[in-house]
Amino acid sequence: MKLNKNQVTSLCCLFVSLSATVLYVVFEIGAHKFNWIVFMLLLTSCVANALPLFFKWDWTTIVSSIGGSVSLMLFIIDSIGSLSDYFNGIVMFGNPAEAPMIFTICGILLVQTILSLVNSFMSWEKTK
Amino acid sequence: MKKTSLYRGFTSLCAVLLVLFVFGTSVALDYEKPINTFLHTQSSKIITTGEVGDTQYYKSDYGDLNAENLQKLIADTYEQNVTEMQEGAVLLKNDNSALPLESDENSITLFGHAVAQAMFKAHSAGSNSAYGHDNTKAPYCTDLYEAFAQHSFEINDTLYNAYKNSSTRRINRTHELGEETIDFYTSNLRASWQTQFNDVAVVMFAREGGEGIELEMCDSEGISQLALHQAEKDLLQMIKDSGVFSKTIVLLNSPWAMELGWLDEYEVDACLWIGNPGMKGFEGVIDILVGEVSPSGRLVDTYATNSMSAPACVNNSCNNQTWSNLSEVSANLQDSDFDISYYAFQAESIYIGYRYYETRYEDCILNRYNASTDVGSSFEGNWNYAKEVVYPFGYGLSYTTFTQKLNSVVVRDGVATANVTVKNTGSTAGKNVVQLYAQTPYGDYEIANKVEKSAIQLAGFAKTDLLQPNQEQTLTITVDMYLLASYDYVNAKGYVLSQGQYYFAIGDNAHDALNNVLAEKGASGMVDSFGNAVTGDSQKVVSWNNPVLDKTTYKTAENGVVVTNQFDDCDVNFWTDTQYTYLSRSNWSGTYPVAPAEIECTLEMQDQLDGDTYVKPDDAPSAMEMRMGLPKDSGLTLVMMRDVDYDDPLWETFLNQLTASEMVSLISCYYGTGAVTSIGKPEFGTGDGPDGVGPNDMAGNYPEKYGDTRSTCCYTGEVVLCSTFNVELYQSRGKLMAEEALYMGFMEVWCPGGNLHRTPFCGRNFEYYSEDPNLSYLASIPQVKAMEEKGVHAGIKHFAGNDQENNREGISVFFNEQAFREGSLRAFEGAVRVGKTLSIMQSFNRLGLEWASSKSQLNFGILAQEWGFLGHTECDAIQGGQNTGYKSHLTTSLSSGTDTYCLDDGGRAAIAISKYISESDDGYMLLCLRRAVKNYLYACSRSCVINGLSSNTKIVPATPWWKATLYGTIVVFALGTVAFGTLYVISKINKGEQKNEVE
Repeated sequence: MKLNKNQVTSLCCLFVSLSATVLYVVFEIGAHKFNWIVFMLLLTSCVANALPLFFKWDWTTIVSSIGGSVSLMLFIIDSIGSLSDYFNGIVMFGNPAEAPMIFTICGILLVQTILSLVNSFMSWEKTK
Repeated sequence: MKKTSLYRGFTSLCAVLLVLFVFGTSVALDYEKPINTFLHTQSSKIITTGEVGDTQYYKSDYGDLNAENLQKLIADTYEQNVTEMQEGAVLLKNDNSALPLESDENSITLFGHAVAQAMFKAHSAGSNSAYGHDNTKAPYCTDLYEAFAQHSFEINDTLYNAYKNSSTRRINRTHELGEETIDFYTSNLRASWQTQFNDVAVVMFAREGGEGIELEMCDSEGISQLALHQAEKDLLQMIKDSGVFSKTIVLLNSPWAMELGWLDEYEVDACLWIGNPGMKGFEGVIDILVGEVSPSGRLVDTYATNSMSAPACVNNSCNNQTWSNLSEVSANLQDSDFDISYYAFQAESIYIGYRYYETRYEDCILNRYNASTDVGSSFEGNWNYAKEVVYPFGYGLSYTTFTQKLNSVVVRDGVATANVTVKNTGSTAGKNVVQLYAQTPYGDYEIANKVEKSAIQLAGFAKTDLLQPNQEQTLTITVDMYLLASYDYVNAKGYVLSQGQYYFAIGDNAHDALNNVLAEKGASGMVDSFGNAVTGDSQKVVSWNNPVLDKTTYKTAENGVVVTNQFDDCDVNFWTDTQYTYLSRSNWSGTYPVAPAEIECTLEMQDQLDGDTYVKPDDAPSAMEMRMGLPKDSGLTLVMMRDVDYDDPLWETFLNQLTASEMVSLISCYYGTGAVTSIGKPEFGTGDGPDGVGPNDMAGNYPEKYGDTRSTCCYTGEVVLCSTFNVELYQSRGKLMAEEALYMGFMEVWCPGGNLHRTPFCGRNFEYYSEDPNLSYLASIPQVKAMEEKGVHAGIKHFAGNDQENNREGISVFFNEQAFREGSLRAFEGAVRVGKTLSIMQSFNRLGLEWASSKSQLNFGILAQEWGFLGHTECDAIQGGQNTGYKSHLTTSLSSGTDTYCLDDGGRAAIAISKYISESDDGYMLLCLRRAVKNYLYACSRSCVINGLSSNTKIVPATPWWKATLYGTIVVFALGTVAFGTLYVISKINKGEQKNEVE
């Protein structure tokens, strides 16, 4: 199957959102904390990014961008203690050693959200 | 681009921005108070109607709060910082009068990475004016290089710039030492000091811990973090081998007591301890180095050859343990493993710091109590004081010499009054510290009843004025004999003044004073801390006999409350059949803790460790019935309560004006509390010290209306301030911090730090006074009093027993009551009982098995009843722990004497309590809430935040610009999402119709 540019972009989004999901699960389980809402939102984003590969559903880009941004914000709120400690050089509200991983996951989620936004603005072509 | 794509894209964009702003606003509202403080905005405003008169109940000594007076205040704070350093730095070594530097010794090389990454302060709360971006120094802050440059020194820039450009960093979180390895010193760098810049080698070493960051007892080099490390050894060896430097001067930029047995080995000529100097302190350091000021600081800790030789290191700090049946405990309890796993058994009893080393020394000299054995010895053979200690407590050199004459000591009416004449016998002007020590009897009664006695303890001190050569001054030191009483938890269950001979002695340090006492006793074989034979000086000792054991004088507190045991359940022996032994001087070798205690957490212990112990009393009244008819407006405002006694029934009338939600809002603090319009309570902030009024992460900048938005001063660390032994400096530090708080509008500042340097490794020793509880007690009082006089409460922290940062959250601390009362509680007692503070911050640890905030014996039994505390108790930061973990048992802590919850973001703790009361209709808990609110408002009504308020002022709500902006932005993006979404759907439908038409 030859993919059009929307599908290519969706595939990229799917790859990024899957990466974010895997990283999130590994990180949160390792840190003995897990937010099911974030996980479900990440999964929703993955599904929303996968659907355009099989259907001509352009609205899924809206779902993907919302899913990515909500999960990003929830993840930041969950991690605010560790980030606070990291920037203040203390160990008080969380674990500052987690900060690099938190930044990584946030970065990936941000990329996914931006990619979904770009995909939303693109013209959708018929699959050939 | 097609319309559909545009509509779809903008729908997504608006939705994403809506999400960002909705969540962002939610977080911002959680942190409303600190944002207001940061932006100098308010969520309320004061409306005045009619005459208000003079409403400055707490006045600034600088006059009105304005731009001109602020500049005077800032100048004074900076001068205070420099003076603290001048008088707090301790000259430890000065061979051949290497210091002060001669005027022609001005071409120097600065060594050690710390010269480029100085530790102005350690990471914790306090002022943020020392560090700027990326931990570089902030504007207005002076580092070592600049301080030397101000005195026209020629500095080796080649090496200095190499340090600055190096990627090496000292990182406290990872315990990265941050010293350059020897490879760093390339041939080019070495050439830079071969022919010039070699008058003096100034080497600066730093150690750093911080909040939540304990120093390591055994690090990656297999040695204590306080020992000299390989990179540092190589550096010193390189300087020594170069043979070009006339002098080597070492500066210790470490508030933690380093192991200094190496100074002679590397031919260091002089060593100056500077701790953490704050933002301007290096200017004071240079004043000492060039001789403008003679050093007069004295050590507030013992400097041991091997830090691990202290008995407290066996069970505390990084040597705390987990329950022997940890898996069972974890399975049985709900709280996280981290909260319930650790314990510290304070087997060292009262023998912390010099109280151990000096007491064991006396018993070695007098050859008794099995002191001269190898148990607890750091070296081959029997325990040997001179090998164990490098510098004793109270040690410090000067550029001049003094004589001290003890003229008299008179004991009368519970007070000992000493009269001491000091004469400057040298050729340089200087100040001198008189240290008055005491030895109290240790006899049969004490041994039988486990009453431990330090062979010497600091009883009082005074500092002279600047004495010119041949000038003398007579000082009077008064000692409350209460400080020399001992807590007998076995028999009298109260403080006793032992029967027998008391010795009052002066000395250059604790060891010197003890040698003088031993001379008075006729002992022989004494040595100084360097191992040299000395005879002591009995002329510096006055003895006093107490004919009978006195169990009554201190059995009753000032307010009539009978003093008795409160902490029996904090002794692990209360819970177990296994006998755990505390160190006793009656048998050194038999009681010295040689290994960490292994403790099993029994089922009974687990019940208490569970923490959720509050049960609604059967006779609890109905909360709903209690609230009937309330709130009831009686026209009382906060400012009207400023002179109303705590027990006056008018307080009940005042509280009845509050709605339930207003009440719970007042127990939820986040660097202050919001306005409560019904009672005219304004919104205000709180500061967080001790090294400045801070707080470090939110505010700390003076309000723009005063024309200068720089940060409040970062003073020296508390340990440096304490080392000045200057009561006037303690007072002026308190006064200036209060003045800064007046400009900031802070009701209270969380300072000073009252915990003990139980081990040299505690991550926050830099912001606690000393290893000595009496010194901590005496140092806290002047600072607290000075702040309280200005209407700024000195919220001493962390109450109590929080003497380590390792596993500080939830750790179970076991001790005997004598050690706790005479040790951990002393500084807090001074701040409350004498200093009369109205704020106190509790600690993270458990006392025994209960969280300090849930320990009613501490908060009611000791604090409120014995010490007569009136004001509010605040738990340490609860952020993140409101809903889970050992701090989440909120009904237990509130009913056990905790009044307010620190860093309660979103008011989660307060909401949980409110929810409990309404769901359970528990009137008893409502009474606890009323007590907490009353205590908090009582403290508010006696503080500077009532300045500007009168019966003709009203507090009304206001929306700060940032909130209005956030709300407006949310509305815009919500409308955008809906509008573009609608257009997108319509566009899609139209497209579908067109498609159908074509078909």
